[in-house]
Amino acid sequence: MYIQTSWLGEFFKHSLLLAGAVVVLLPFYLMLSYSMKSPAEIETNTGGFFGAQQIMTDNRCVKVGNPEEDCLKRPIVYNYTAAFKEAPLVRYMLNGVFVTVSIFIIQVIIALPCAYALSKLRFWGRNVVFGMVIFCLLIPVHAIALPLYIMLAKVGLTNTYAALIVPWSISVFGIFLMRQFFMTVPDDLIDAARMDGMSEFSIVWQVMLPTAVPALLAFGIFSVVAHWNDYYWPRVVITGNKDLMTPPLGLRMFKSDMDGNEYGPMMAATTVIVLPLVIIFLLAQRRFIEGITMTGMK
Amino acid sequence: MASIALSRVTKSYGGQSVINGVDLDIHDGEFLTLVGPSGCGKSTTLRIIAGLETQTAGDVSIDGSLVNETRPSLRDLAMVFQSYALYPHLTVRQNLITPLRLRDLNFWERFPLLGHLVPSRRAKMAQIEKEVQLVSETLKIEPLLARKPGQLSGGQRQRVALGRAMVRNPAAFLMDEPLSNLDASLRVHMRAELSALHKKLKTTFVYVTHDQAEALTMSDRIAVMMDGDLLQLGSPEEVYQNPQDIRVAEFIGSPKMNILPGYCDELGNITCAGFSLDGTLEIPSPGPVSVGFRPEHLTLTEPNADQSLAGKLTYKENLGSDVFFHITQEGIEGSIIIRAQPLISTPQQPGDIIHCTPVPGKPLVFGPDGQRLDFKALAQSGTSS
Repeated sequence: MYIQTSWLGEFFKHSLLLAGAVVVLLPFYLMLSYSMKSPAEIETNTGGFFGAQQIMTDNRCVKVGNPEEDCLKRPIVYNYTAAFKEAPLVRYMLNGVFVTVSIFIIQVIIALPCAYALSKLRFWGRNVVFGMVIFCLLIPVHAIALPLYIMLAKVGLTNTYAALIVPWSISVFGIFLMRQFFMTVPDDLIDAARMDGMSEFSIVWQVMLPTAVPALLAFGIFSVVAHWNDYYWPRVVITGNKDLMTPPLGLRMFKSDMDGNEYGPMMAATTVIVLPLVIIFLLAQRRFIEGITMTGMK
Repeated sequence: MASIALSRVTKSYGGQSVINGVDLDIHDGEFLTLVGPSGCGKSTTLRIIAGLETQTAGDVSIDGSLVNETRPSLRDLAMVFQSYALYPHLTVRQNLITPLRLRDLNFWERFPLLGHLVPSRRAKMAQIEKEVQLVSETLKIEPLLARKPGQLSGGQRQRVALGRAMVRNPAAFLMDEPLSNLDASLRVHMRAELSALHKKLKTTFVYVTHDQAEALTMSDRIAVMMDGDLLQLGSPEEVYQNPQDIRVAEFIGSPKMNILPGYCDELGNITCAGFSLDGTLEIPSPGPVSVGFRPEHLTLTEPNADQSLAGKLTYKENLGSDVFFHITQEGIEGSIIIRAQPLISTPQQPGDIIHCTPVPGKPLVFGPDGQRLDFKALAQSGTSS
């Protein structure tokens, strides 16, 4: 059915959407732009998006006592090298990768069998257990942060990778999401696997896991983004050891280390931290669609 | 090859009974079809044989040994599912290898990566590859081996599902409506192929369908199930010509049997729709009865013939090889269907009053409880069967 729309309505709709887009995208625009500009350009707000990229003098480099001709740099090079030099950004990022990947793997290892049992096995009290899973979705992290912290402190796990990983190892959201997906997997497939002689354990890993790739990718995006960007929990459990800092925490350290107006290197660091997420998302998005078309059910 | 026996098998879900004590002996090497309308318990019966469901009471035995507690995979049966249930992430070849790999390789030989280092694996895998090759040649699916199920047509998936069942060389095949997802012409084609396959393999086939045509064309014996009961077990001819229950009579045969209300007197003579049948009941059961006529057992006659059944033609269905006349008569619910040769049929038009008589000896009489009553045609009619 074709609906006649007035141009005024369309105009209103689009301007609203554009305004929304500006609110969301402007910070990213500024981040990218500042990461390429010289301090002077940032201060005076000149140079457009890329900045003029005129050779500038690195004041710090001069202060340390180097001859001035050795301290001439393009702003973009200066910002990005400073970002990596001033703080152990690579270390933070590796920490971030280790923590988020560990969390995701453990979450999958726990969520898949749970979801399988909740969706495909008949046992007494199944609905009650599922109700509890749903209930757990309602509990905010911040509400249980203090008891969790105390527990971790008692067993002496604060300031370790374990403190960053263990509290997130069971994802009720993951269990819920996978359970909903498994509900759509035909029972015949599982029965066929049983007739072929697979154990329930092999069914989970050899039949359900491969068919659930699209759903796992969706869950992976949620999980990785949430824990890569998490500032709150690392801030609580990583109190002294700078070697364990994740990118968002590191960024904070980085900021306080720098001179007040060194926005360029800071924005460069932020860009570097955001970049992996954007890349992962773009890759996963393509795989996501592939995954859906790959499943040849029915 | 195996015989399968069910004895007094019942199944109920939360107090609701879906199978009420089924006794069934499936002979070694026979093609037995469980047929019935949806929800009659036929699929559940098959799943109980497979071990995918546990019966509430009763025994299942395969080749004489009780398998009540045996896991599905250890019963040595293979199942073909309606939705084919192929592993969507594996190629056709891997789909065919999987059941053999699980049966023939031990835990260490199946272990990812490390399994390749186990010395005994190589010979076993070669044997498996050979068997897969053999089956794919039989089913002519060799060109598809590298594809995934998603890239196959319905008919091709059907073959692969059959192949996955065949590679294991099982004691019996269980098939749960395997043809119902195929289009009509392919279904007819696959019927013949399945029959041929059964003759070739000489293995027991237990086939579940709601399509009575499939049951009649392929089976050695048919088991008609309804409402959780096994109503009749017999050869296709017997079930068609000699149904023991009015529900079987109505279910088997297309178009379905005409059932007319009749009345039986003290002597066992039956009157129905204004004329009396040429025969009597062996044991008279005075009172109302139901009389069944197959459409092909009614013949068109001249209006003045005595003992004819008259009705108004409402619809003429021309199938080319046959013409079905739908006629209605006052006082009778629904329409009566008559099957006729197309040459005979031409002049009548909807709205005409037409007459027909039953072929002597063919009417079937059922009591008020739906059970078949022993009706004997009169000897002098000469055509009693």
